[in-house]
Amino acid sequence: MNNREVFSVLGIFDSAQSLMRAIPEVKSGAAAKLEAYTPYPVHGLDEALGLRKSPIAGMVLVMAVIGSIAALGLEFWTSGVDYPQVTAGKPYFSWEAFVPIMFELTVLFAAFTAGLGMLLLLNRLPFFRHPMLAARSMPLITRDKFALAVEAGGKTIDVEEISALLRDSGAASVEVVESPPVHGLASPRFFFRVLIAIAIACCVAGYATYWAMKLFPKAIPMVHMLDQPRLGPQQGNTFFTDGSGMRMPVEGTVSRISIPYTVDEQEDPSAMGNPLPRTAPVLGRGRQLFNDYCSVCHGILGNGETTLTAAYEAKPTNLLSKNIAALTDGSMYHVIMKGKNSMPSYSADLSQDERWAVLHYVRVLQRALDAKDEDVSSAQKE
Amino acid sequence: MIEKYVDSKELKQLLSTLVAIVGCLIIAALFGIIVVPGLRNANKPAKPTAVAPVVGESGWLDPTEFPAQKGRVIPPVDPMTLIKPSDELADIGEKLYETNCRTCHGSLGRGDGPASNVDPQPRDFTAAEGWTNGPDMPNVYKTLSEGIPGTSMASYDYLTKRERMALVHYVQFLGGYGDSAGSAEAMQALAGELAAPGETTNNKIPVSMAMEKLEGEFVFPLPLMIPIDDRSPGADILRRTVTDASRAAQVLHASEIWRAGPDALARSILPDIPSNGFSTKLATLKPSEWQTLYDALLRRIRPN
Amino acid sequence: MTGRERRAGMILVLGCIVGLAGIALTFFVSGMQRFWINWIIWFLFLLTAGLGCLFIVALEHVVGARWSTPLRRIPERLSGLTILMVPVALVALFSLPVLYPWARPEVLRDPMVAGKAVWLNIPFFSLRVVACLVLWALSYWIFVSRSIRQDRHGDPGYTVRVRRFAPLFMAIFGITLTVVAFDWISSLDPLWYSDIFGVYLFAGTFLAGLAVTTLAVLYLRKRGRLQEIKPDHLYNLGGFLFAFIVFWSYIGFAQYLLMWYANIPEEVLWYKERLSGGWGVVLLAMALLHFLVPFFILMARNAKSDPRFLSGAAALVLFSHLLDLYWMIYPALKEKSFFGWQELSFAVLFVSAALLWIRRSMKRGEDMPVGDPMLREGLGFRL
Repeated sequence: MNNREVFSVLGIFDSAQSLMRAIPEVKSGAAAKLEAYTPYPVHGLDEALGLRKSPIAGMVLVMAVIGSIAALGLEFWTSGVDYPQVTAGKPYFSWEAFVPIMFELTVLFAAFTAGLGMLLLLNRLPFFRHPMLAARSMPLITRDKFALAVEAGGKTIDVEEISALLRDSGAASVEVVESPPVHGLASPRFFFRVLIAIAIACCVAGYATYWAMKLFPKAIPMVHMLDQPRLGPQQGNTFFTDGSGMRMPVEGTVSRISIPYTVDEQEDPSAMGNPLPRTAPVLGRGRQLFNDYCSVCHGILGNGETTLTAAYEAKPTNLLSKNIAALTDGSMYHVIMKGKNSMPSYSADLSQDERWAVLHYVRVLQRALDAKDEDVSSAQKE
Repeated sequence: MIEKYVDSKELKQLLSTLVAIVGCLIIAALFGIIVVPGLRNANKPAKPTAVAPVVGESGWLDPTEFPAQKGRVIPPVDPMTLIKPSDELADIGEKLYETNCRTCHGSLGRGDGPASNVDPQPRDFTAAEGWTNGPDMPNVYKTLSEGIPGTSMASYDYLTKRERMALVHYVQFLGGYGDSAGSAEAMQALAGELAAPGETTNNKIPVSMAMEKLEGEFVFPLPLMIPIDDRSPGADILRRTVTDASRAAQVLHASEIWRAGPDALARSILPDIPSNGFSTKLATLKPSEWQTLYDALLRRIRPN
Repeated sequence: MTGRERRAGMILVLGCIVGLAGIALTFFVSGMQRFWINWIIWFLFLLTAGLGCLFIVALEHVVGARWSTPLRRIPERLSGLTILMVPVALVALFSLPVLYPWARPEVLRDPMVAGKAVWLNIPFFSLRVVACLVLWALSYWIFVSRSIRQDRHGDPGYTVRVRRFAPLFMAIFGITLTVVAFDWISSLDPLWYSDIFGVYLFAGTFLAGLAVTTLAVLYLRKRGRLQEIKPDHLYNLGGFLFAFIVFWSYIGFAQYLLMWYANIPEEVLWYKERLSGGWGVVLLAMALLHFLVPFFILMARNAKSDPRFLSGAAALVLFSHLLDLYWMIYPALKEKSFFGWQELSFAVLFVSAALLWIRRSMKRGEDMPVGDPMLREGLGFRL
């Protein structure tokens, strides 16, 4: 014998019956691992060889459960916690809607586990050159002969003794199969290294793209929902006769929670008082509403200096001037309700309480830009 | 039992694979939970800083958060340098007119600016008649400083005396009045006012601080108390018309004008029902009942 | 042995008598509605079990299966339940004006219901019922009576002819079962409709047929008959059960999910009634007993051929099929209570009668279709 490693010793049998008869004898005679090669599945062969049961079912079960839980977790997190969004009036956590995705992920995990687990983990693929493929009797086995193999399994076995044992138990002929030398590039290790390299390259490319998008936001790869045909606020449109894209409430529309405002031009609205207490939430709300509705014209500081002046040649009122500061809340409320000069009425945009909150904030701005001396000294102390 | 399926070495291998997969899932989940929201908010500063000088509308990141600043004292000047026209004043006047006046009065002062659709119409400086204060220097200065009540002409008191005078000259130039001075007494008064010391610019504090100040200065008024055993007509009418005792008290504390009489009271609270804590039943009250209500409120609400 | 059999027969006859007394009492004490609703539930339960068995027989002939030939006599005998249901169905026609809103003239004034009057009227309904019964009886005669005759003469011509008829039966079965689902169950609430309802009832029907077949096979094996049936045959029965448990849940959930998503009042109300007031618990029990528990029982490979696991799963499936019908039909009464001595007496009567009928039919022919040319091959079936 040369110094090549012996992979297995094959006993070739003429029929499935003789193979089955031989198995118990060989099994008791040789302490090595047995394997059989047959041209078609033979009933009872698994049990006779004493092959262990496949763990694939358990693996699939475990991974299916993990897949199911992963889907539930993903859906719970994305649509319940991180980005809760009402869809079709259903609760954020609607298990009914989650079931199909849970099912899909269960199947996905189970299928991948079954496929990849069987190929990679259990069958140890990729296995580029199986020694059996080089066996001389392989053409016979794929046609009408049955082979019983006593495998070395990495250890040294007594070839002579096993050949005799196989012949004694009815083998027509015996062949010794040797392990062929494996080239370094054809090894599973190399294969997996290539796979890992590809995976790393994918990750790097993905992250590079991500950061490129982040740093150069002008390059929009997918426009999709960013680009929708729509009318922006204040945008003109020829569809309506007044040429404005923005619609006003129908004449005479009143809010359900308020009663119509009856003070007209001749009457004096200055006597009205602000019914809201000057608390932090009220001022915060007023600030938000002022920034949303008023600051477009009056400026974020209320000083009437906005881009509007340059763009539309308008000079809105400076809310900080002394004669505006001297107005009562009631008079300013009246302006919000009825509008003044170029300013339209905001009675439809702001609710009763919101108007008063805005007025509180206007007072804040007046105070901020015309502060008392002690305000400044206390501020500088801080 | 498990040995039937896998030997211990394989079991170890399978379990390590499982651990690796579950680990990958957990890492992916953590990535999604921690890292991605972090990236999403990458542009926000970690801590809100009060003052961060970046270019913005008023030179700050948040235009309402400027540093507190004491008003600058403008040193008094010789009034004659302002009364007498100069190239410098003309430049300032033209610029200020452009930003403050042109939208209403028009670039040539004909009262035909883009925003001239106000009532009453903006003044045409070239028209001789109909001036409220007159086209003379002291009169235009008065108009600029005080505005014209009842019209859209606002007060430009936030401009300095020098700026106002520059505008006066420009307006007179547009109207073709030369430097018409008007009466000598008026000119004297104007010169005296211009020479008066103590002109300052406004103190400034950040808006958030002003919010805190105003909030801190606010005193919650006592709610309108109506004792249950008070059977007087006043208490009775209060019970009928007041829906929110604390709001009603707040309204009546916020503006004192109602104290003038039942009419003033009606003007004060009727337009804003029901948001101000009074019932819509107010609309049906008879004059005598208004009087009763007024008396009852006057008794209960102390002046500030 | 005969003594024990006679004793069992006595008990069943006694059960019939007690049950009859009970349902008579129900009729006069608890009202007609409660009587008829139980009648319909049990009628449909036994009918679907019988039809399911007939379907199994036809399925073997359609696909040319050989593994199931040794088992075929069992579903053939059990499908006699369909014949037992002929008088029950005819009696059930009396329930129409009591239970079915469309059969009452005052409801017919509702334009929504009136629009369906072309299909939902008493003469046409009765005609459909009779037609279905005739078709089933004919199919039963073609499949079963002649199969039993084949035991004696062993004529392979029978097998050839019946395999030609079986595909036709599939069409008949599909249409008649959909008609049963729409007529007897769905029309209890004439405004409600579900396109998939026939398929849903089919899933339950096939499961019921499989379950009674499995239980009967396992019982006979335990009593020493059918010893030639190997675990490999049982494995296939278990596999069928396993697959169709999932099918049933899939159809049931799909029907629910679509209606839940669309949220259209006339669709959702049906579920609303069947989820509130205790019925939600019944649905939950069904999800467990009809799906999860038997699913995990039958999941392991060995469990599918283990008589203990298999009989447990089959019994669960049969019981939950009854629960399913109960859940679909009973809430139409819109009553709070849903179990009492009335229901128990119906169960006693119908179970006793069905068992008596099955005992009698179990004596028909041989235990296996000995005249069938496929039998040898079927007995040699291995996984």
